[in-house]
Amino acid sequence: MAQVVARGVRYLRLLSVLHKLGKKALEDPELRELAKRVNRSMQLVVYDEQGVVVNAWIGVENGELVVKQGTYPATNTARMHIDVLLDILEGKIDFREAVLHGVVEIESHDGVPWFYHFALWSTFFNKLREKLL
Amino acid sequence: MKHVLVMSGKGGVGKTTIAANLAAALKEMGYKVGLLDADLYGPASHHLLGLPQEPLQEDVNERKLIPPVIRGVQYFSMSYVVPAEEAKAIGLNLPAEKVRDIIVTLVKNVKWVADYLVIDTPPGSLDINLKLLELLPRSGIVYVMEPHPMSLENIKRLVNVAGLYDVVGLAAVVNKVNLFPAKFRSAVLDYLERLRVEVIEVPWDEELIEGVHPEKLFFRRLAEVVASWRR
Repeated sequence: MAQVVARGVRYLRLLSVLHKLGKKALEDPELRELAKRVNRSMQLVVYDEQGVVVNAWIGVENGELVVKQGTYPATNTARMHIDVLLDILEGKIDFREAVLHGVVEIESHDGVPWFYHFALWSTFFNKLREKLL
Repeated sequence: MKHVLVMSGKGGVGKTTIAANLAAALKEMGYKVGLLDADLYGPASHHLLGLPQEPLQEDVNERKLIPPVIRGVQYFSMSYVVPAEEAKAIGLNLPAEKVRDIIVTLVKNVKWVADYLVIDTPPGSLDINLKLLELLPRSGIVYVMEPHPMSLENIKRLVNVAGLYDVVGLAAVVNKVNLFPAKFRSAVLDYLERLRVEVIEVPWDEELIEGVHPEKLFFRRLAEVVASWRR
C-alpha cells in the first residue's frame, strides 16, 4: 500500500509540474528554435522502483516543438528515475550534470555515440533550465 | 591534420597553460588550429581562452559536431557543455567505458578542420590517456614537467608508456624553472637530453595565469618546433 501511495504521489507531482511548465515551455520561441537546431528526438523513459511510470517523446514535428506521451521512434532515449526528473523540472538539479554523474542514462539509436546526442541536447536543456528558474 | 598531445605524469605542472598557448602561437603563425581540452574531470583551458558563446551545431551531412571557435581556435571542452559557473559538482561519475565513449566522440565525431589539433590531456588518468594514444597513432607529444625529482620520475614513467605506442616526442617543456632549486636542474636536463627532444624552459610568470600569450619567446619557440615536425 505504501508503495502504491508513494508511486501515486510522485506521479501526481509530476503531472502538476508538467502542467505548469508545459504551456510555458512549448510556446517559448527560444526553446522552439533551439529544439529545431538540436535536430533530434528524445524518448524519455521515467521509472520508479516498481517500473516505468511515464514514456514521453520530445522533438520537432512540422516545425513545432512537441512533447507527447507514449513511445515513438526517436534518435535517442533518456532514462531516469522519476525523482530525478522532478528535481530537474523544479530546477534543483541540472540535466547535464545528471547525465555526467550517471543518474540519467542516454542511449543512441542512430549510430552516433550517446555523448553526441547529449552534447546537442545540452544547449536545449540549458535554456530550459534558465526558463524554469 | 597532425595531433599534438600535451602530457605530463602528474597534475599541476602547467599542461593547460602550455597547451592553450601552443594552440594560440600556432594560430599566430597562420595555421588552422584546434584545441581539445580532454581533461574531462577538471577542464581548465576556458580560464585562459574564454568560452565560446555560440550554441553547439552539427554538420548533418557528415554527422559531426562543429567545434565552436574562440580567439580563432576551434575549441571543445566539457566546460563548454556545462559552464563552470553553472556546474555544482566536479568531474564525472561514469563507468570507464562511458568516459572512453566521450573521448572517442570528441576525437572522431567532431569536425576538426585544422592543421594541428592540440590536445590538453588529463593528469595521470591512464584510461583517457591510453585511449588517446590508441586512437591517435603517429601523434606528437609535448611533455610538460617541473624541474624536480617527483616530476622527473613521473615523466620517465609516461615516456615508458608512450614508447609502447606509435608516437613521437617533439619537445619537453620544463615549466616554472625559477621556482625550484637549481640543484635539480642537471638531472632533469640530462634525462631530457637522452630523450633527444627540444627542451624549452618556461619561467613562472603570474601573467600566464590569465589569457594566452603567444608572443612570449618560449611559446613561439615551442610552436616552431611543432610546426617543423615532419611525420
